[in-house]
Amino acid sequence: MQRVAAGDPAAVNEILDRYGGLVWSIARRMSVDPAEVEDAVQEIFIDLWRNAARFDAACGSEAAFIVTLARRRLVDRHRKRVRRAPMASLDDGRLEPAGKREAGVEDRSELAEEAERARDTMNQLKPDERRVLELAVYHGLSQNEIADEMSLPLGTVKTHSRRGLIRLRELLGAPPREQARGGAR
Amino acid sequence: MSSYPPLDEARLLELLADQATGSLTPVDQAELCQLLEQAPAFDADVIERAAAAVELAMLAGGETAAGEYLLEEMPAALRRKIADEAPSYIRDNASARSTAALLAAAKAVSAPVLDRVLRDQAADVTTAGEIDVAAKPGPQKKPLPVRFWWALAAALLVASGLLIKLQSAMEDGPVSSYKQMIASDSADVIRADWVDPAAPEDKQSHGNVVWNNREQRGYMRFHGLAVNDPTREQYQLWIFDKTRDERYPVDGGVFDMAAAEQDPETGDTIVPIRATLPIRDLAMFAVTIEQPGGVVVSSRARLPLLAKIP
Repeated sequence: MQRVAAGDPAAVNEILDRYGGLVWSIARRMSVDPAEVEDAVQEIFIDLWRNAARFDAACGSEAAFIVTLARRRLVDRHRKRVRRAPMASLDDGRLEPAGKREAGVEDRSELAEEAERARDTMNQLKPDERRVLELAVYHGLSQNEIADEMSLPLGTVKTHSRRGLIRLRELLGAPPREQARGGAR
Repeated sequence: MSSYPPLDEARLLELLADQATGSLTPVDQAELCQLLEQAPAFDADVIERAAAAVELAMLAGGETAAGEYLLEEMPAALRRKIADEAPSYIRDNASARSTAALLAAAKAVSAPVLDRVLRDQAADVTTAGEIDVAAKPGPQKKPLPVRFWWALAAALLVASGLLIKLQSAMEDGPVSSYKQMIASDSADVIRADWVDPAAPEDKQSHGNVVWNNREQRGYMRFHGLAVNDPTREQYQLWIFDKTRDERYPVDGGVFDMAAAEQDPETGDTIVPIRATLPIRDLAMFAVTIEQPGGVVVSSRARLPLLAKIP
């Protein structure tokens, strides 16, 4: 990202190699309309090129920076949407990534490590907190929909969602050894 | 001195968590804005990064039975398009950085010189005061050589000229930028007049739009467009690109007439265009009236102005 910020065009292909599939996959889950997904992905990358200088490795990984930016742009588009695509059920195949591929070794070492660390961190949450976050963040369900899905009171869903994210933030900010013990700062 | 109470960080984190899961109410949103305003140094992305970790864990965590890492692939055509268009945005970064660096350099050149002049002036005042009051000669300051004053004048001239040029380039408002662009004879600049589809031909005087295709930026000039109430509705610009599906024009952003800059000479309103996607082959601009915040897909039910590229 520093090279993109410095105006190095060669860095573009490296970013696309490493994170193109990730951004595409996130955007694909937000819409079933291919034109809409393509526009969203283009917008995200333009945002990325323009905001590359904001990346600070001390605050988080490159992947987290890109996903944060992608999510923000997609949420913004979602808010502006007039018509909403029908909500797919959790058993619907559309929720699963289509056209999977095996990524290159380099991609794997970068993103897989990041994903593994994220999964380890998620596993330190209470099961209900983890499930609420999966449904809210990954599947994009509203808190009412999660309450129905998990047969929990709405207030409990809200509490799990808040506590889960705040705890996750603490764990992600903790040194690796502390993370392994599951301790918060 | 701030009049805010001590920051409630726990509450701020709760609200950021609600924002990350899309469950923030308008009242909470206002509270969040207030808390963030209270703590400008607070990293407002901390919770979003936690949500990003959830995405990564779920999406990039899939593995085959053989333990291979799986991820959906971006279509090759889209990837090529993004890679092809990236250099213009990357160049913008480099250009902004070099301009900022030049500005900093100019300030760095002028600051020590000005500092020295000010210190010398202060010393002169102090010395003069001492002489006046005590009426006795003090140690004489060694006069500065003439070449120093020439060097000082030259440095100030260069630095101030550089600063003025750079700052004006960076801070040109929409009105002057619009005037420069509309007067440009560049082949990249495209102009079109606004037309109200509901008005007769002899009542068409609504302003115009100018777009620089190479720079991917432009300005709209509006004459007599009604002032909107941003809490009820906003104007939204759409840019039709011949290379894209006509049903999905590019979002050019929302704008409010009252907040836009006015040309003091004509009273017309000038609004910069912020295209969210690259425009390759411009066909038409359209302004619609939408709900606050705009929409992704317009019903085009209220379409006060169109500007077709001749």
